[in-house]
Amino acid sequence: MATKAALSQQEQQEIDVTRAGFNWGLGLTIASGLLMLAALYMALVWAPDAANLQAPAERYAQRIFYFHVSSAWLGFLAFIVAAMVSLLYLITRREKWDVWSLASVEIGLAFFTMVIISGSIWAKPTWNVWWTWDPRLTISTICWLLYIGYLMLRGAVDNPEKQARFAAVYALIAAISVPINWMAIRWWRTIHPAVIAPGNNAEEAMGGFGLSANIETALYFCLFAFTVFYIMLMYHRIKLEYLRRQVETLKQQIIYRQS
Amino acid sequence: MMGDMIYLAAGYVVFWLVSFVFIYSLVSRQRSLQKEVKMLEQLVQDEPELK
Amino acid sequence: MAEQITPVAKSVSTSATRGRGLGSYWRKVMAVVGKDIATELRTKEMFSAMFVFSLLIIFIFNFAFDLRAENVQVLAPGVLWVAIAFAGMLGLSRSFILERDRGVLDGLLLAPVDRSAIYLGKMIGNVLFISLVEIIILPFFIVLFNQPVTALLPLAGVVVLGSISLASVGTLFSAMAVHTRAREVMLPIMLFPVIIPAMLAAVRLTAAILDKIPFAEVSQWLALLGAFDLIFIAASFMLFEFVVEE
Repeated sequence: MATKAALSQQEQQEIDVTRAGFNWGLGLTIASGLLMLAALYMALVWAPDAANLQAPAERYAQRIFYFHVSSAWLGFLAFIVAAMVSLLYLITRREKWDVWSLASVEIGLAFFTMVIISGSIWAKPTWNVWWTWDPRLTISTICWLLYIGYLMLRGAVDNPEKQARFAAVYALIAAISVPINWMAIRWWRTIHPAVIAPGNNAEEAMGGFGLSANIETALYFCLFAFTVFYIMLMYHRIKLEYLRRQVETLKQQIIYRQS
Repeated sequence: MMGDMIYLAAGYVVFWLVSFVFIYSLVSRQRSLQKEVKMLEQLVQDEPELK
Repeated sequence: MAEQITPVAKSVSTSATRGRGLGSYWRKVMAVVGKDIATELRTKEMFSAMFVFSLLIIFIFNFAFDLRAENVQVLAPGVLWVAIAFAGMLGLSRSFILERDRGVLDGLLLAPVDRSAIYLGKMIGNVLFISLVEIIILPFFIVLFNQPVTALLPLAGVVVLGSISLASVGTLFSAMAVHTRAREVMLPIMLFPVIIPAMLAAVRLTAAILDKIPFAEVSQWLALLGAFDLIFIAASFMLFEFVVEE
């Protein structure tokens, strides 16, 4: 009886949240979708051609840069957010931060996946290799592995409280390791000039950075669109996680009462 | 000329593909969770002894 | 279970280690180290496992690459550090697993020893074990890869620094890995990406020693390795208590 009442109360709360949240969520989703379409236009049409590149394939492919760099920025942002909320979790132990951490890592993983694959696709017409241990791609791969490690760790710990704690500790160590990794990899690449070092040609490949204000504008717009995209994804992922935890708790309650 | 665009196209397809996969996973997880909630409700209704 | 806890707790918490102050803190750390060494001396399981594992890796790489004299120089440092990294992980995961299986870790926590002291003790123990095994491996490495014997001493130094980097984060992570379902497998997955800068530095320094490159050229790598060790010992030291709290 009490369960039934509790359920309908919970359900009622849920509906209220959904109704109120629906507007936020829906608004955010639509805004993000529109922005992404606009960003696509900016990158593919509005932005100027990379005039200094010869081969047409390379010139076209250069436009990948806008979404590629934006994804990288957001991937790292997601990382930083995950680290900060992990610290908050360890200090305050509020479940909210743990939920945010998980959401941010998952989304960051998606972004880094985009970075790596798009980077590889961009590399082929530009440097004629599918892969190169360019510092930026290397660090993205390492971050990708760190994210995977985080999710695997969470998956391997059953106790939810332990899961949250361990994940937070791991996220913090991972966050500290990224700048150190970055430095080490940069140093490593500069000692091996004999190896193809596309990192040095990156600016050329991008059609010369400071050359055109339009390139910068397009990039900033894409960054903005991606940030809103990230926020939108966070919103939905966090809501989903709360729902999942509610269901888990309900199941536990019912099982407990059954026995 | 179309052949030259293939890399550009592939590059952008990646973004949409990954985004789609991710969003779809969110949606499907949501759906299955809501199904679970309904099932749990049923369970409680069918057995009011579950106090 | 209770009978197993008390003797251990007793051995760590003596009148020397109770009480406050830097002296007693350090004694606590040394007590943990001493206990680890004593345990290992009795069975020598971990030591021999790590030794054989390192040796195997070096052998396998040696004939897998079908090395002619020219290739050896380039590949040798990498091979050495792959061997150290993998054997190190073996040692790291074993140190906590043994404890957990005998409920001894709980005993350590019951003892009025600071959690952080446990971290330091375990870490120092790990550094000792890994360094020791790998320094013994060095002569084999030098023989198999035809490296100059004069390299032994400086290489030992790099081995110690590298072992510290492995143990610094590895001790923290293995304390977590012990509680997971996949146990031994989790540790490399968590540890490798974090360890990369230290491994890069170690390989670079090893190459410099073997190729007789002047120190000034690689001093930055030494600095990186040192900084890595310090930063991650500090970070793991602070985060350890969050991992072992009950």
